Amino acid sequence: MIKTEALSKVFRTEDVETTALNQIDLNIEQGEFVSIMGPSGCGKSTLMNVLGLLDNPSSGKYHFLDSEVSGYNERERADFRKANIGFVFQSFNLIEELSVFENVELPLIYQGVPASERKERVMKMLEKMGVGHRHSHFPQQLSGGQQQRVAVSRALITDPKIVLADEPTGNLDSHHGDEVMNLLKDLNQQGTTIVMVTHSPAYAAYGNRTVNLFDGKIADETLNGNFHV
Amino acid sequence: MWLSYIKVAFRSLIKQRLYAFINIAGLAIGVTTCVLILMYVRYENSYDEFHPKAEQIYRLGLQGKMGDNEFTMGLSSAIAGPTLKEDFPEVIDYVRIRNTGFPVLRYQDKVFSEEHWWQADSSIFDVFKLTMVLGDPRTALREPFSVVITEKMAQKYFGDEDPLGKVLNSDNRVDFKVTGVVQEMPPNSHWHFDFLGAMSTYGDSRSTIWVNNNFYTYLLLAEGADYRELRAKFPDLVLKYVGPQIERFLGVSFNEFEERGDAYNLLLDPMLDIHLYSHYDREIEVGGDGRTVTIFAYIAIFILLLACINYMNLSTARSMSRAREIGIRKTLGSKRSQIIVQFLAESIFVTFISFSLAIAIVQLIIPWFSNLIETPLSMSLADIPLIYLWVIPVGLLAGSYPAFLLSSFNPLKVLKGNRSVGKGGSWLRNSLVVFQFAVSITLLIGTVIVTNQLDYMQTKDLGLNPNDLLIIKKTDDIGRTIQGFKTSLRDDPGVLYASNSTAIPGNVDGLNSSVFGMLTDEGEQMRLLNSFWVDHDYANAYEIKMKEGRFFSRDWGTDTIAVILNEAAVKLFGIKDPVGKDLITFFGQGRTPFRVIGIVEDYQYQAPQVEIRPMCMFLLGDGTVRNRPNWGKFVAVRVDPDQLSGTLAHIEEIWKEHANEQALEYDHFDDYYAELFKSEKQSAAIISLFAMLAIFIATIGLLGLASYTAEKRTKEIGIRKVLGASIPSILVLLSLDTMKLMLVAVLIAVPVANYAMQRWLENFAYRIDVGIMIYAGSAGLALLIALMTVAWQSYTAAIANPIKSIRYE
Repeated sequence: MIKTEALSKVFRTEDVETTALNQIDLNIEQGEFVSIMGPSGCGKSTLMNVLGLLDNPSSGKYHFLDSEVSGYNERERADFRKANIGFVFQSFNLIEELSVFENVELPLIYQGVPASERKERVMKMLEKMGVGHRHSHFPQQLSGGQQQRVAVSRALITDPKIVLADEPTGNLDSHHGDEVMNLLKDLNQQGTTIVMVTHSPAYAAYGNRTVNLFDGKIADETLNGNFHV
Repeated sequence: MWLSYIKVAFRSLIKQRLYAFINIAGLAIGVTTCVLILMYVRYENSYDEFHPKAEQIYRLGLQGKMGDNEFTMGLSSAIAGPTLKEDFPEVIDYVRIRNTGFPVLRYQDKVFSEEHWWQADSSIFDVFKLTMVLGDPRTALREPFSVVITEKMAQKYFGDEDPLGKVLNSDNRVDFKVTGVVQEMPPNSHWHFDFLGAMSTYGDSRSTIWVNNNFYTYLLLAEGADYRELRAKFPDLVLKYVGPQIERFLGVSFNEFEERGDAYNLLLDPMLDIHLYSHYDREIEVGGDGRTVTIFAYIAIFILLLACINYMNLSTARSMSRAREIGIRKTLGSKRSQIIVQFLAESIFVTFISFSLAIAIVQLIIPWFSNLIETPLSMSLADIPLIYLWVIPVGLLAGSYPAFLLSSFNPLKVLKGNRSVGKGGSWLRNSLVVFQFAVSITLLIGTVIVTNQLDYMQTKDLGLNPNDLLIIKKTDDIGRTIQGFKTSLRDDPGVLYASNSTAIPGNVDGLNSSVFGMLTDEGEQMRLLNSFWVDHDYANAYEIKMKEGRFFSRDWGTDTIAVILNEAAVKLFGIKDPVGKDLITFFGQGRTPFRVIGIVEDYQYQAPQVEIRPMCMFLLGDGTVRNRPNWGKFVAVRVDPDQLSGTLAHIEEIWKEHANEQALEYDHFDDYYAELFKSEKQSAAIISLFAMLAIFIATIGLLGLASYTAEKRTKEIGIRKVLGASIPSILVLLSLDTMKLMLVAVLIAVPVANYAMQRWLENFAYRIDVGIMIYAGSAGLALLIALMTVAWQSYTAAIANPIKSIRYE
């Protein structure tokens, strides 16, 4: 589903050149749950940004499904993101001025889905995630776990081909963290491809494969026991 | 501690140069504008204050009504002043002044036509402040045929010679002996003169007739006397002295006169109010408009407020970048009050820089501004500390909100990097920007309406043809040979018509205002009409149209006892078929009927601002008819534009033959008429300038708000982009906020502007209809400016890479 070849990302400032990603070759198959680990500054987030088409690589190739997307411009990337990728962030990134319902509805608005269909899909999704009764609340009125459920709802509402989760449990206590991880596991079992960045080896083990990054390179990959496909 | 504050303030300014520049420049422009306007307001309010007894001096006036005709003027009769001094002990003294046309003065080979020759009582030195340079104020104006002249005139006629005792000839008729030299009246006097002829020279100064009102009479009241109490005694005085004369002239008792609804009341106005608040018929000089001055004072305060608001908005907008500093200071033990003091000190520091800059700008542009508003303004050294006095209050005002907001930051949250610190207060920030734009839009609407009204007046059909018309002035000096002059003028084929008259359109000096009678269905009606004297060619020269009947013609010898009315006069008397009826005149002593031979269509024979009043025209005499002038002060020449230069040379030559040394003075009528809009043009120039500045300042404010909002919403924008929002949709999102604010500003501005401008328009008899387009257009323009202002900030926010704003917190 995802195939990168010699993917590199170099940040340049006036006098420093930092190589954040160095010749990454990565394959992710449909239905996989891949965990990415590594110390701070190893390039995890940069990799997620590039995989999520939030940023372009400096060099190398990036195939998403059958398209070569590394050369996409801003507009093409936005359209591609909209159609294929769902994001879950450590800090939830819900818009405080919008209600739970409106937050989840937002991607559908940008996809041009009609209002009646939006309502039905959003409510269904919120029910599925166990926050349907909270649909008219605002993010700051919810617990961290509930906020992350809303964020996951928002990531899934467009039926993305892949969900990119960047430390989804980083801001949660262990109870809520487990809750979110179980949710992701369920989703994966239902067929959603997931790529997740985490610091926690325990949560990384929820995936069927763990990729360890170091200094912008893939140091090693380990298969975990719970391979579902 | 203080040094640390100043140091931090200075460094923060240096660090954010652009922001500091906008902040200081905005405040400096606001202060500059405010100072300029206040200087103008102060100047306008300073009129006549230079007289030491100014507060005890009051001017007599007359308010009356005859039929439908009401009149209010600052004039009184010759006898009024002496009688009041005689009858009322609180009247210590009086002085009467009166303008005496444009005499032609001669001294040896020097010949000039003078416009500012006045008659004055010798008491003028006791009532007014006149600084005598040569001569004795106690005796200077006692003797008939003595004259006091200004230093400028002394120089003009006598050069370095001693002017005292020299003789000036007036109009080849009488000689005046120079008995004194005085300094000119300062510019902020409601009255200016070049010559003061002794009042005793003129016989009519001893007239006892109360119904001839041609003198400006100033009373000097005893210290502490209440002029309102004196005024309350006037009705009895009128009954005693004016009543019998009304009975004699009008044939009705004063009671009957009043019962008909007619009136004759003496007025008394403080001299200090004349310039700004007295707008009677026939004021000596065009006064200022108290209402405009008040409006300007408010505008000045508003503009300063706008500039302060900018400071508040920009400071809070930048609060993010200061939040960390505050957090650290608080963690290290700074109290909230110390933080408040720090930010107030910073604000006062910035205000001080802005004020210094403003004072420099004022110094630089004051000559240009004085020129623009045609008012001699100047900033003295003593004004500078006065201006600096305002640094502290303005600094406190501008700095208060940022200081209290910034000092309220929770250090824990701030240091953790929680960005939602300056939350709340957005209501206030938005209101401030709404206020700024409401003021700007109000001024914008004002500018459009003033400009349109001005344009309307200048292009309005006057009922005459203002083009290709020359006005030769001061033709009364060649009076005796005026017929020959006109005949010679017509030798040139470029001269189509030449007409001599005592008045020209737009100039009230030559107009008389007198009572005339006419037999109507309800018996003989007395009405007040303006009147003046013209020759046969007047209608042709000005291209005035006849409504009915005919104009004066050389073919009719009887036209010497004929009269022409305008439509307004016909309407005033309420008569049908006026041609052929008689108008009763009271020239000289008795009643003389004049036959109405024609009605002219109403044309603008007075100032362009006023309504066309009822008027009648009589034929100038040829020297054979008693009780009428034989020549007027003006000759209007209708010229062929293609031959203008030749015609001008011809006129010059003919003038020399008839007027000897006296210089030819002429105007193109259209230029002269445009001058009559001077005050309106001045207002328009000032208000457009203010509107531009207000918009500029408001734009800076909006820029501050926009950058604040964009910064505050960076994360939201990032999330939306990640979720698939396009750049245009983000731009719309951000612009929508601005649009909402603008809409509120428009809703506030339109009624305010409408109210203010309708009142301003009431000054004009003929005014534009203020259509919805003016409001819509102004609002649209403001909106466009606002959107363009936020466009850059919004665009920057919209194209920013979302990963920067949403990565880790």
